[in-house]
Amino acid sequence: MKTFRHALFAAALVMGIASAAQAADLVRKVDSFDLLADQSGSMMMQAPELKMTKAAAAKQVLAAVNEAIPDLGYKASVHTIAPAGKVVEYGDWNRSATADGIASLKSEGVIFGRMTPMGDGFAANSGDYASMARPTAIVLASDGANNTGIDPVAEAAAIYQAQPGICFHVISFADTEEGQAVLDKIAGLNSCSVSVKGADLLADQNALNQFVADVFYTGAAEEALVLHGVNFAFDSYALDAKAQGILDEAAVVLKEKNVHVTLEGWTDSVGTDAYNKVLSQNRANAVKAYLVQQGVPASKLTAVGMGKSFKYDNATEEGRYLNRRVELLFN
Amino acid sequence: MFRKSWMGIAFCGLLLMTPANSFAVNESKIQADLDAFVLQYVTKANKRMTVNRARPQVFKRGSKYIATFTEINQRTAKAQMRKSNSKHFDYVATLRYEELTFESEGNTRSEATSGQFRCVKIRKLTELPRYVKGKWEN
Repeated sequence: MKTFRHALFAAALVMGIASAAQAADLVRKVDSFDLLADQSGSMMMQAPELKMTKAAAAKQVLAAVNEAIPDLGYKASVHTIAPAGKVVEYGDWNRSATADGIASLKSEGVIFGRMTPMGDGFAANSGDYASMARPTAIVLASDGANNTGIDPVAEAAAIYQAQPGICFHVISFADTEEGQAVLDKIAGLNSCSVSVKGADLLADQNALNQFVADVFYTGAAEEALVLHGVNFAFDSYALDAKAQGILDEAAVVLKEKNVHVTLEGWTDSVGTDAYNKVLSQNRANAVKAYLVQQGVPASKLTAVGMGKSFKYDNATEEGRYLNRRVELLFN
Repeated sequence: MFRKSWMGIAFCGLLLMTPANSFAVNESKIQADLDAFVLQYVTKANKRMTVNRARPQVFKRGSKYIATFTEINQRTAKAQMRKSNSKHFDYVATLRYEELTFESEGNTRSEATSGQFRCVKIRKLTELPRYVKGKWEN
């Protein structure tokens, strides 16, 4: 038993380190978020395919989302609509306190005679949203059905108008066309919105992770080695001695990475487009040939002449120098 | 006799230690120069970006205006040096940093440029600065 506990501890430690390392590579898309649960009567109805009430399914999904969010220093709160209320006060996101708040939401309740004042709920919570750090994600878990009171689409539009930097995301538990149409309209108000089906997130951990990535963080998308000073004789493709030295060092880095590399040659803006395109291609080819001589497999290198670069200011010598570069993109 | 042997050993030890010690001092000075170079280089590169935080580029995506700019996250810039194998420079450094692209959306150009920018892309870049004739260059 003790051995099992030790093994469990070791596994948790390794997972913790792995997750910390993963978080170190991520950048948060939003500074704050609110998990907004619909607690209306229609949400207390059974979802036959899920074998539980929609409210219970929403709780499970929100709990799973809360677990999957990387620790990137967010601020957060938990609110409800129908009735509107505050479940977890706004502040530094605490995964455990948020999980407790989600666990306290109702899974079952009165079904009949309770319409959904969703728009009123948005309006009631909008005061709290106003003080949240921007950008803010509002993650709405709802079936969108049986609305009464203020039009929720109009109210969400009013919040967008009054509070720049906010974005509604939708986790749908809709089982009627009318409910889904309301949620689609809310998601359609702003291109920032991510809209998913709650059942998909329950059934597929990858879909859940994708939703969390889309809403909460940006992953490291591209890796590249950037070389300056890889110079050629004037109007030539012959590498000078210093350039060969730089490429010797680059070859060491490339051989450590067992990936395909796209080698992009860039020039500054001096000369015509056509001339620079050809020049940059020939120079990229020369760099590739030299790297192959140094033992980098030719099959792992694709040379592309990109022509003029305007990334840096071509009006200055420094800017032109920075534009004349070779980028080795690790694919 | 015993005392003389010890003195000889100590003397040889001193002879051996002194160059290594000065080598280490020299390397820590070169590392300090590298740290200063990295800060200066990254600041300069951010300043020379055509599209930057002060001058974002605005374009239309569907019915919305998108303002965008790219900058190096200075906090991520770290460099480690090592002896170079090349005869053209003494040391080479591996400089790693993140280049972030930000976007902000709005109904008008000014709403987009004055809105909240969020990071939409990260590039993890590596460069190889060289130590040549007593100074770092890239």
